[in-house]
Amino acid sequence: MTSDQALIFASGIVGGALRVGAPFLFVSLGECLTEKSGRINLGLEGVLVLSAMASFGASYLSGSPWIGALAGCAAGALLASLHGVLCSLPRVNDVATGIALMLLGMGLAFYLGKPLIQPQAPQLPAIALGNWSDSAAVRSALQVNALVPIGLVIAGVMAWAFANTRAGLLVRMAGDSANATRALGYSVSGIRIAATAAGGMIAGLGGASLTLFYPGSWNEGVSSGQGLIAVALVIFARWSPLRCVGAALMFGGAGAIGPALQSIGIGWGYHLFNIVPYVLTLLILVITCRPGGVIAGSPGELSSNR
Amino acid sequence: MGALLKEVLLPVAAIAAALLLFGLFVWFAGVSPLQVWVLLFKGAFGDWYSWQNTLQRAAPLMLTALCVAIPARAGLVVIGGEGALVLGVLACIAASLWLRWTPSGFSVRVVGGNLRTAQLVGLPATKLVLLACALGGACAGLAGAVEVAAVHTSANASLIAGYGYAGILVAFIARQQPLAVIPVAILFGGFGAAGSLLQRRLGLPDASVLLLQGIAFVLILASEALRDLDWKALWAKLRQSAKATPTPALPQRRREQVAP
Repeated sequence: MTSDQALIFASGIVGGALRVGAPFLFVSLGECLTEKSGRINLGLEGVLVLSAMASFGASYLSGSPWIGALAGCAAGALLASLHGVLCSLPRVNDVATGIALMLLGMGLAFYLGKPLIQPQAPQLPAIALGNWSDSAAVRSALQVNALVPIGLVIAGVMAWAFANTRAGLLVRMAGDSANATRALGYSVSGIRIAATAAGGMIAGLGGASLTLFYPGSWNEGVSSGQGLIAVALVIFARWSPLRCVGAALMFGGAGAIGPALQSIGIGWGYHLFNIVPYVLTLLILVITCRPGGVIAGSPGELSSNR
Repeated sequence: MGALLKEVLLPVAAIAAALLLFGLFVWFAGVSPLQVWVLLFKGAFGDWYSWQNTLQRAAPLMLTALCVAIPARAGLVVIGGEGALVLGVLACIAASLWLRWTPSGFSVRVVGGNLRTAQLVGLPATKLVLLACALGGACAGLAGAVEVAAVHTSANASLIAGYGYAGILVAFIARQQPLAVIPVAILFGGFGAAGSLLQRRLGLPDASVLLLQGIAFVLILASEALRDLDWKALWAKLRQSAKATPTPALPQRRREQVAP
């Protein structure tokens, strides 16, 4: 590999991490918030697809990608709050409801989004990080979604809020001990529904970055299981928003190995490289989870811990 | 008998509600709900061809549902069935017979019911959970084999078609009982079979069936919450409040509760 090729490969990985990692970033941040309050939301895949369609539709109809992003947030918050409300009913299983909402979200999105497959909608502006390079490949690889800085700010605010604000403490308390929360007079379901809805709102930004940046169009294959992987990412990140950023970037980078190799002409094993992120996640989970013990930092009230 | 009726009535009511809601959706799209309901029924159960289509789709659903239900009886929830697929009613009956009548099946149920008891009695809990997962995965793999060999007669990327995720829900709705998986899978296979009819006759997007399935799943799961409701007391209260004349309050002697 020449140094030029190495540069293209490296920038492909970094660019891929930023490009492909953007939806992962938002979805894992949203899931982190939801799980901190003690609820698992497996329906984030449905939230992702529905908010992707909603933001594409809103951007197309209004002409502004930012309105599209707002619509994505709203759709995400709505679907996630449905999950929150359903799970607060007695005897309803978190896991099953999440999967049902995933199917509902996907069904709604495909049903309502049929007329949106052909047209093109205004895209989000890109921040060019690669202008220092002469190579067109490097420059195009380092284009970053304008929502990514917003996501990084959200991660920082979340990390600070969990440690330093009352709302953050309430969320953590509802996640660690429902009894303590009730003893202090707060409604556990109320806190969890609010956290789930807020998580859905953040995940909605992930959907917006799918259809308004990369891949930039709406069709039924726009998401590839990112919502479900987010649950694994959150566990991998030990429920810390800042580590979620790292996990999302790592996952995006691992997923970009295949295309980056292709861009320097190595086409061998393309499909094999596409499974790298999933294998990586499995490996990390297996290495870091010890049998018989609960993972440090996991909210005590998660249904997987009870 | 009453309990069984209640168990069946609630999901049936939820499915009826889902069909109504779906009718509302298509009404907004300019299509007559009545036509949709008739076509759904015809497409799923109308003639022998529709039945074949339905059962063809029900079989993989039963198997992927077993992929979730069997490990769930051992206490482990598996949602990875989409990655492995697999022959329907026979597998369900075999699974239910195994769980009910054989020592190994019973051991698996004990592990799922109370892990500590199982360990105290000396059952190899880890191995049993692994066994249950392996059997579940085998069922899903069988579903995949059936899809390739009998239905599509070729293997390509469009194979999976969401049977794995739908199987998870069929398993939860059937409350992890392999025998109950059979009717639930047939119902949702029927929805899937009617989908192409809806698309051809009424011009609805083919995702409408996915939407109907999603609504049905959500409502059925939500109806679980109503399962323990005391219907008799609720009915009595409703009838009381409907009575017009208020009875005058008689002086009542308060009975003191003596604590034992």
